[in-house]
Amino acid sequence: MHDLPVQRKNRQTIVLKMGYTEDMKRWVICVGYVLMMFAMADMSVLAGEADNAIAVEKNTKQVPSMQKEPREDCESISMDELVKRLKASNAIGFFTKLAIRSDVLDFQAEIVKMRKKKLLAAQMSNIKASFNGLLLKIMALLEKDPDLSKKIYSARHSILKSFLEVQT
Amino acid sequence: MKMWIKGALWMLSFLLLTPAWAVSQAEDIATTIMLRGHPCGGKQVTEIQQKEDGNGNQTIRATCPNGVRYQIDVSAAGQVKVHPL
Repeated sequence: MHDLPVQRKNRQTIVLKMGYTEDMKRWVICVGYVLMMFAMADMSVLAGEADNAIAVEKNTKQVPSMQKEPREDCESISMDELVKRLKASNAIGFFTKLAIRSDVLDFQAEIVKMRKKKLLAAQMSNIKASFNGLLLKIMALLEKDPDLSKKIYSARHSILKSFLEVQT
Repeated sequence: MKMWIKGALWMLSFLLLTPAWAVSQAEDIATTIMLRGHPCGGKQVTEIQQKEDGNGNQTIRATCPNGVRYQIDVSAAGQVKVHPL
């Protein structure tokens, strides 16, 4: 008879202990799960931030490259090389080459004339327009030689510059 | 080596060395006419007549597909002038 309450108490304590431990286990698992979720969320946020940081870095890198593009686009080509390549090109016939040469010489003479009259700066827009027309003509003729056409187009600024530098 | 074999070899080497897209004289003259702002009506001229004087000046006469006959004067200095006949 005495044993029963003791056993009950023991059982209760065991049950209590067991229950406590089970609850604890559940709580630990729950808390661990929640913590893991938080950690994962943090990681994803961090990853997002890292991606954003990389993107920002890329963008900041892209900005100078975009600024550099016109410089790359503005390839320089020597006039001698250009003349050599135009002479060697089979995309244009002999008489057409002579006609282009005449046009180029006329354009050069026009620039010299403008410089002598001290109207070069004032007539710059007209000079650029006639240069663009000439360039367009040459590029249309070089349809069968796309490499040279591309080269001339990319070096257009340096070509115009060298035209403007001609003194006589 | 026989002459005809030599000739055939020359022709073959010429064909191999000449690019497929090299411009013919008829196309070249038509392009020159159009480049000087004259209407031609096609990419090739016909009835080409070429003359050269003692000073190195060339005169070319050709007919465009639109029927207009043009004269192209090429000076010894390389100046090109085109006018209809």
